[in-house]
Amino acid sequence: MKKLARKLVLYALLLVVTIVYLLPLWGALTTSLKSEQEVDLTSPLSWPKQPTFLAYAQALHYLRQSLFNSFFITLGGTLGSVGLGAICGYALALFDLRGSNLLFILLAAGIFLPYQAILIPLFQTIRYLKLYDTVVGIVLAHTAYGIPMCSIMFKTFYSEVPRVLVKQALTDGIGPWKFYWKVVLPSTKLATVTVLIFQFTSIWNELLFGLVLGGPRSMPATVALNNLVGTLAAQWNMQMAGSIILALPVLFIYVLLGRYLVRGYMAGAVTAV
Amino acid sequence: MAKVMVDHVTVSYNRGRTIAVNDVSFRVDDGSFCVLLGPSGCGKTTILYTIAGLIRPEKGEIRIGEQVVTSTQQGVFVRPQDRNIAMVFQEYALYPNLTVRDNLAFPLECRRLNKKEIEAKVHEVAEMLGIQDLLDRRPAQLSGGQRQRVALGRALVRNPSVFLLDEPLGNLDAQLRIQVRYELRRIQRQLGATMIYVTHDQIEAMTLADQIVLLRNGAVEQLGAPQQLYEEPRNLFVATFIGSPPMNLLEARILRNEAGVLFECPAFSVSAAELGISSALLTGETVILGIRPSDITCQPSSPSDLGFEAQVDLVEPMGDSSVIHAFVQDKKITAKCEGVPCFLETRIKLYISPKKIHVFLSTGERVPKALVNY
Repeated sequence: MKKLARKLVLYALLLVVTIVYLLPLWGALTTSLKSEQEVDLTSPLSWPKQPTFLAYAQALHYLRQSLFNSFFITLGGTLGSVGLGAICGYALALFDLRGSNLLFILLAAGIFLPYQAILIPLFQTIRYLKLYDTVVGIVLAHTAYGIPMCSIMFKTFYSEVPRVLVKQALTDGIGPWKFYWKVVLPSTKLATVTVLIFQFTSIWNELLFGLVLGGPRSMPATVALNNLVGTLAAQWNMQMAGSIILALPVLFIYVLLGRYLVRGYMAGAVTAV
Repeated sequence: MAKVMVDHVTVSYNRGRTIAVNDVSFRVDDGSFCVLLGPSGCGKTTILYTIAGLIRPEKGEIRIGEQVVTSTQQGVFVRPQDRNIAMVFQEYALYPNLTVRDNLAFPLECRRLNKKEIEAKVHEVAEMLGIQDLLDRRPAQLSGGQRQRVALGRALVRNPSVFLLDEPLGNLDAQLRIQVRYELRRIQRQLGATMIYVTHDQIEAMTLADQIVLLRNGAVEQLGAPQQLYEEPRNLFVATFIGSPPMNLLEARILRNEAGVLFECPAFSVSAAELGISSALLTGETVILGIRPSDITCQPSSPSDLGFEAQVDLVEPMGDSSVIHAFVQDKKITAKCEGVPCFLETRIKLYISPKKIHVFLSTGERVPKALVNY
């Protein structure tokens, strides 16, 4: 009896927290399906009388360019940081290189560096490279900023690859690169998927780099969406539609690949060893 | 195939604070089987890794064939992947994501052989090792013995200058170990391969080796043919490490008189002349007499045999022979006799030919037998 009561309390608490957490999403969904007049007249949480996708069409029209930017920024930044991070993690995990301990500490420090602290020097560097307001510039920033996290994640995963395999490969006349492509990468797919999702999500949702380094031509959708607030203050339905459009890819990826992510986070990322 | 020269190699860890290998030199002839033997931590694997190029020595030179692959003096270091060696590890180290076929073929692909040649080589080796039926399996689907065969096959397929084997039979059960040991030796003879083999198992070393390099604390204690190490151990360490059950050691006092030198131990007294050693080489007050269990018999084989009484503690029958554990006064002695003796009483008489007794100084050095004194 006491056990049941405790369980009831726990579930009630969880329910409350879930509602609080999901309420804004619910509000965004209902509002995005309403017409402009209905937004003004009804509560944000009520279901629309006549659901319409007009706001979505409008939002897509406004965000089209920036969504493309976001796509390329995320693609470039993810591939760049995951690719370089993987190589870095591979070297750190499986080879005894001189100074690798120091490098590892520096990389770890890189993770704890807040965005805000590097914003001004980063901006100056990008401008010096004549990459201000270009997708390439933002991709470069995301790649560089993502390398520490990716390296450390990959190092952790690759540490599970038995060291003796590296020795075996070297004495078999197989170079480190070939060994990576043919053995390490195929046996650690879970690791790669995990880091890819992690990087994709954080770059897609990122605002500050896009805001500072991007201009009208290269701003990602997160920045464009934010700009709607100022210019079209009254059009809540369109803003909410934009938010939901923006959230869709991430949601989709989590539904599609979520099980890999959980397994990857739980370690045991090397299969069949 | 090629010979291997290891010349004054020193390896240290922790920036010189731990010396793992101390000034080790030996030579492995072309087509011979060399075993690096020693207790764990003696540096045998480190030497193997240094030959492979997985470890850079602090000092010394290594040559495979005519090529200098490591030389601290000339500043030469050839990368392991460029040394044309084949290594087999105790852990098998098969590539987990590749099938047996691909495991065997992978090293060949890296050497840009064409597909047909690779296919032919893989089949030849698979047949030699009896693993044709396993070619499409993955390592996880194989038993320990099968994995070890595949690991051997991957080494054999490449025609390397030298095979380096790091306790390759360590993970196999006793019966399989004997079988693979035999196969390994047969293949080595058949191919005329140069092999360097690391083990701590002296029986493995005795059965496989043309030459044993016995190591302790990173230094060579003795090197030579197995029989040489067995019959003429340089010191107490070698004497007790080689041979199973290990050699019995009896402390004996040196008594010098006009007639010559006499050794007196609890079991018996024996003169230097009987043992065939020159008394000029003796120092100190005591010596240690070493007697192999298999040299002790239950019946005297000649009138000159020394006999002594012993109290039987335990008999371990092994079918064709038995190991007798007995006490001579309070000193424990092991004897290995033919057949299974049936004792009516626990006090028995054991015999030893004085010619077969080894004499060691208290420093551990062996006193060589002087043939002239016979």
